[in-house]
Amino acid sequence: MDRSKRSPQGEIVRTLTEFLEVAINFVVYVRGIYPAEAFERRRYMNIPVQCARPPILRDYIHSIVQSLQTYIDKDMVERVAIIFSDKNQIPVEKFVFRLNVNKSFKSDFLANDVEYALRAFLIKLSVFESRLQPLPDDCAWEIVGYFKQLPGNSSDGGQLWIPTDTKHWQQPPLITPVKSMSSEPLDVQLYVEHPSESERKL
Amino acid sequence: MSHGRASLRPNSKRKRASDGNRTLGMVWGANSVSSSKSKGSAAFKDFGSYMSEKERKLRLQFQSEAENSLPNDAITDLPSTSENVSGTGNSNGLFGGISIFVDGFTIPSNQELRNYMIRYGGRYENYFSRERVTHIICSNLPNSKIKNLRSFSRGLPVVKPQWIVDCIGANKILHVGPYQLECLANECPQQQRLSTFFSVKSNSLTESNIGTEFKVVSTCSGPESSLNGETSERKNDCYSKSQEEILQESHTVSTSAQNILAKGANLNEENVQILNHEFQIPCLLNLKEYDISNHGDACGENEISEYDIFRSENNEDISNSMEATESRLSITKYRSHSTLEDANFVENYFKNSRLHFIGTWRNRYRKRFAGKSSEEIQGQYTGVDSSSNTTSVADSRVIIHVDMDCFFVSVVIRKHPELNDKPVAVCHSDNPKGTAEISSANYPARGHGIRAGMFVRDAKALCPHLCILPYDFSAYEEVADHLYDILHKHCNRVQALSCDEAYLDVTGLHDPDHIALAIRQEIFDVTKCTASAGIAGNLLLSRMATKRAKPNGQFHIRSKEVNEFLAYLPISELPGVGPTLQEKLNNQNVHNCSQLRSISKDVLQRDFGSKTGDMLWHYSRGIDHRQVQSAMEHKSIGAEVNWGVRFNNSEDVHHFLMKLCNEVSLRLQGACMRGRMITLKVKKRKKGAGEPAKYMGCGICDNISHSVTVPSATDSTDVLLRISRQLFASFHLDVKEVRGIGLQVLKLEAVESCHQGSGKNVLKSWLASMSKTPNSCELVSISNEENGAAVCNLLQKNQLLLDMKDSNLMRDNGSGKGLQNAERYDAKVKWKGKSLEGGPLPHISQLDPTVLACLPQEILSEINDFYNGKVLDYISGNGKVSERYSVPNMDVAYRQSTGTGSTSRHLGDSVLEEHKRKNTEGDLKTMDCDKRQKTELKDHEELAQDVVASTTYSVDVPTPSQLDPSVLLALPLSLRLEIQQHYSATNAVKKKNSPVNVQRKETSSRSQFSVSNPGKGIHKKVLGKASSSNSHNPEFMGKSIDIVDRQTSNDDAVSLSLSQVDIKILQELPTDIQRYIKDSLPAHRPVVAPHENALPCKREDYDILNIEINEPTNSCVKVGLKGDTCCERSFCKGNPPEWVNDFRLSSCVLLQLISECYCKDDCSKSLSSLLLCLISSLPEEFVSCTDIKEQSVTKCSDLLKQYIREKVKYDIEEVHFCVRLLKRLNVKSEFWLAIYNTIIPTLQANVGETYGGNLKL
Repeated sequence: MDRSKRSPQGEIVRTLTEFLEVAINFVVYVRGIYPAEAFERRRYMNIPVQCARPPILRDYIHSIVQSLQTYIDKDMVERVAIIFSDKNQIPVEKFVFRLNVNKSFKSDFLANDVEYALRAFLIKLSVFESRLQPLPDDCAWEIVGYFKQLPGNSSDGGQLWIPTDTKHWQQPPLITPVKSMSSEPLDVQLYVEHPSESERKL
Repeated sequence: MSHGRASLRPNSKRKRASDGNRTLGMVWGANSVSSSKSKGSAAFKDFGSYMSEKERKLRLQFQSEAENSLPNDAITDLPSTSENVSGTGNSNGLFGGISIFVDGFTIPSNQELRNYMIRYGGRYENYFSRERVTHIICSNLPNSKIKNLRSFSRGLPVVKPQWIVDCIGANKILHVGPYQLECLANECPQQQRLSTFFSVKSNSLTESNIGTEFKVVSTCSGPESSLNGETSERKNDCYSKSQEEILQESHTVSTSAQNILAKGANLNEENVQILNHEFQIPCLLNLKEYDISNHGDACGENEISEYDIFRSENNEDISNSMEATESRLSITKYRSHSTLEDANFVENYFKNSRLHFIGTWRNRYRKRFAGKSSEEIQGQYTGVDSSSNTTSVADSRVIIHVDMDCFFVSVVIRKHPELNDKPVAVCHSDNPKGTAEISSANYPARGHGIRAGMFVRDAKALCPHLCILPYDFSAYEEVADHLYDILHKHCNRVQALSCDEAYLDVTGLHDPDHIALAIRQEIFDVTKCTASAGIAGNLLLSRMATKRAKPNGQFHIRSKEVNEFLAYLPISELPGVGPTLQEKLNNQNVHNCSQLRSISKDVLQRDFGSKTGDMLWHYSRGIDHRQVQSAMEHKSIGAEVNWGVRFNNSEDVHHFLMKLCNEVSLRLQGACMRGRMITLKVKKRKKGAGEPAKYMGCGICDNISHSVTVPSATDSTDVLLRISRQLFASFHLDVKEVRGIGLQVLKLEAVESCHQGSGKNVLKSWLASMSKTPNSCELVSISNEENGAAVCNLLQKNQLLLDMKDSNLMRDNGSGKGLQNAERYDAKVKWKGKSLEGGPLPHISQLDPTVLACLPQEILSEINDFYNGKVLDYISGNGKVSERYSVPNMDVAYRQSTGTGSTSRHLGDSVLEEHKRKNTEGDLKTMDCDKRQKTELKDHEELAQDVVASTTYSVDVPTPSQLDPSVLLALPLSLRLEIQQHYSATNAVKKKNSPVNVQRKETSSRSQFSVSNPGKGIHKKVLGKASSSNSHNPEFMGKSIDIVDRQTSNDDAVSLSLSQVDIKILQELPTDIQRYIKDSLPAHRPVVAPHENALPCKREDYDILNIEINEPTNSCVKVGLKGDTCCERSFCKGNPPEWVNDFRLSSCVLLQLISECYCKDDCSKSLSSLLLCLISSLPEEFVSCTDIKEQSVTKCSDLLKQYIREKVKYDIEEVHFCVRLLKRLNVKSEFWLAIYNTIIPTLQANVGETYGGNLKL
């Protein structure tokens, strides 16, 4: 009965951000930036995932995703990327979530359907590791949001976001899709970007 | 009268209903039996339909009663208030929409409640149903339901019956909050509620500050649960359970806040600021928690339970911050009776615990006698079948059970002979009024009725001159060691039961009576303590004999005396029969074994459960199949303290847990074990139980326990502490109620293996490093005289190496005694380079093979690494093989051993690993989805088994016919190519003259070049070499080309089978060569059973090939003649999409086939599934058609282009999948290759446009 009061839109965004949080945790685990012991197994939507244990890490991801939520709600976020950079701050790998929330979607929100689709992402991620090369040592990572328009300095956490100075690749990257879902209320695509061959030689 | 009738009727009905409920199991069983007996007469299909029918009728009755209730005025037993209300006449719809379910005994009774519901428009449900019931009414709940409230109530409000009465009284629906069951409202009665907190809000600045903080929590928790400072609101059970829990949590926070406030009331403003700051943390956490669990609620019970972890952790955090706050405010804590004043309580506790001594003694024993006994016991009675016949068992075995007489006492008093005949007991406290328990008493004391487990004060009452002595653990240890020295001296097969009790298996030794006597005598001589012995045919009887023998005697139950001995034995004497079981049996008028024997096994099992029943049946006949065995392995290690546990606050708990974890950690380390599963058990004072009789004891408790599995085995205090605190917090207990805590670590692993497992994903890291340096595979054959274990060693060793980023893998094929070959993938080019820089290695020929052979495996494999794996070959004296390695550019040299055919598990594993590696490394582009990968892996497994199962000839490569073509077909292309290349390469070296080989090489080289695979230059080189080696045979060159693709698609690696040979070519060969080929082929194909099923399919291929030869040109001509022009239309619209029709009507056979495939397989959703269908069963036309009409290609690629354009925006995955499938298709067919080349630029442009990058192909 409480559910009906919420807008389907809000529910979608909530589901999406929650999924993002879990997925980011999982990606960080999968890429082996931190020792496996820093994570613990949990279940999300009945899928075993790994969740960061250190409060700092967890809070970092959590706070970012939470602050993203308002912008996703406003349909300002185009992509959310997890960027792994080497010690020279040059990105070596990007996990990109491309989001598209259908704002006009009004009809009944079928949480199960969306969750079912999102679940596939996590399953795919768990096996995707084998298709990736190990990251170099001394990697750093960050979460970067690509906005359609710059967030204003509104009071809702906009000031938390700073324009990124992440170095970019000269050449268009190579894209490896991980998983896509498209539904009426929500499109999500996850793919991995790597520097192109020529870029790597530079 | 009318009243009487009205109230009786529902009563009887209710009774029936409850009857049905109670005998649910019986009815079910009975129903099924009867229905099977009398088929036609059964009115209900099953129990479910019966129940639903019953419920429907009950509802109907209820409704009709409700309709009649007012006119009849049947209900006169209403309370006066409701009578008045009903008099006003507007009571009818009071409970409209409310449907209650009454659980258990209530006041007013469920009948009265039912009548109220009838009268006031509500509904009454006889059976619980989540759909129909809105409120659960009960006065008290069993503990199990409280603990598992969610599953019991399904989120419905659980209210007291008073609610209904009061609602009627007030003539409106009151809020359920105040009527909620207390035990649910708050776990412990002395906790204060949120309302009290808010009511004092205005009293001081301090409190109001925190108050606002909590407002934040509450308002943010969502509109539907605005707290408004009302407790009743908090308990509003209309909301889902999860919300309620959160609120309860915030409630606990507030309670602790209240405590702090009370304590810190006189502190100044500054501290208050700190306090506020601290509180922000829990508030935030609560918010998060709310979101999550709210969601969990939305997606069902499962998720909720999962989120419990989240919640519990947050809770822990809260308590952390609470602790911090408390400590910062430096509030003095008062400990009234907590023994935790003693900071080292846990250590001291275990120092003085007898049970702990016995427990740890086991470790000591195991270490001391490790290996001494186990080996001898192993395989002792392999010949003796455990027949159920008592006499035969007794005939074959002789067991002595040795038990020290009142061990704990006699050890202590052996230095005090004057105490020998005085009553003595051992206890850790000699306070005559104390509640310490006597652990052991000597026989004079037992004569006074003193028993172990008695309180000292009771014992003193029985025997005032009882002498109580403390434990002397070092003496116990010493005596126990002596005891076991003696036992092991006399007998190899000793099973230690405890420090003072053991079984000896003296079967086959001389007179058991004599042995027992000697042992007892020796024990007395050495330790000055007496022992008793029982001798019998099995463990059970020998133990019972000892009982008879005590004190200081021995008793032999001979096989013929068994029945006599048992006949009048009271059942309480049987091990495993405790007071409860005894009482149950006594109720059945069973007092001794002969009575017990008269009951059949089935009856016993029915009455007491299958295990207990079985035990009783056997024991009453003196049957015991257990064997004397050395100490069991630990299953769990842990520590538990149930005495003296009292806490005042969470800090105490933390401190205690820390000590406990420390203890457990030490025990783990002592046992050289690490565990992955951690269980915390908490004893919580049972509600209503008073202070226990025993001083500081645990009293009557509820046991709560919970487990958590951690990713890597641990023995670290930190991890244990973290987990245990987490678990403790998850119980949501009031620390004051805790009476005992136990921590156990399960899923133990020995420390050595832990070390190996500690490197995360050994295989993965290895795979990862593999992909850096692909295709540098070399082969080693190891001479390996030992079997399994040694191989295992090697593999383990390799794992270590992998850990160090030196990736290689020994792979053993077969576990025969001869050569065991291992294939090693060396991915350490860099590493090797480095080590070679260190200094030049002596040439391999300079190494002395005999010296090498004597080296330990580790060193050997290390040296082996340095020589790129040639050393082991060298040792095994297989000079040829090592020579072969020097052949340049040969990337895979694969050698199959002369296996005995026994399936080695290692082989299977390593093959799997290998293929997995190959998948990752070479097939990144063609591998589609994980499912596929899995099936491939399965296939590899089969392949591995096939390889092992087949008895091979002594050739270097497993003959290709040994490979299952179906498996090969299922392999990803690149993998197949690799196998194929390796065959061609080896064959090229080996048999240059065989035309078949030449043919084969042609095949492989052709297919290799058709793949644009720049990363595999090495392959090309290999093939280049291969083709150059057959260049003296030019006549085959041109002709093989047109069959190549087909062969590639069919059975790539089956190079030596007949089906591989193109008939056309064969026919054009000179007849003598033809005959040679035909003769030589069967020789390479041993008739092995597992492959027989594979052969027919190959013959089919052969037939197809035969026919095919005449066809292709024709079909191609057809294609060439007609061909539709295609235009820009939306192909993908419609169902089936337009293109399907378009293609079907097209004159091109290929397009028709595509369309056909689409319709046939009903892969209507996506093109990827269509392509997948095509890949799995590619029609021959695609392969054979060499002359492809441009127009059909255009048409098909236009479709794909359009599809890509459509999909690229939101389903790049599908696009990627399609392209990869195309890529796989294009090596099989020119047609697809052309399409592929056409669409790629469009694809990349589209992807670039949308994603700013290129699709990785």
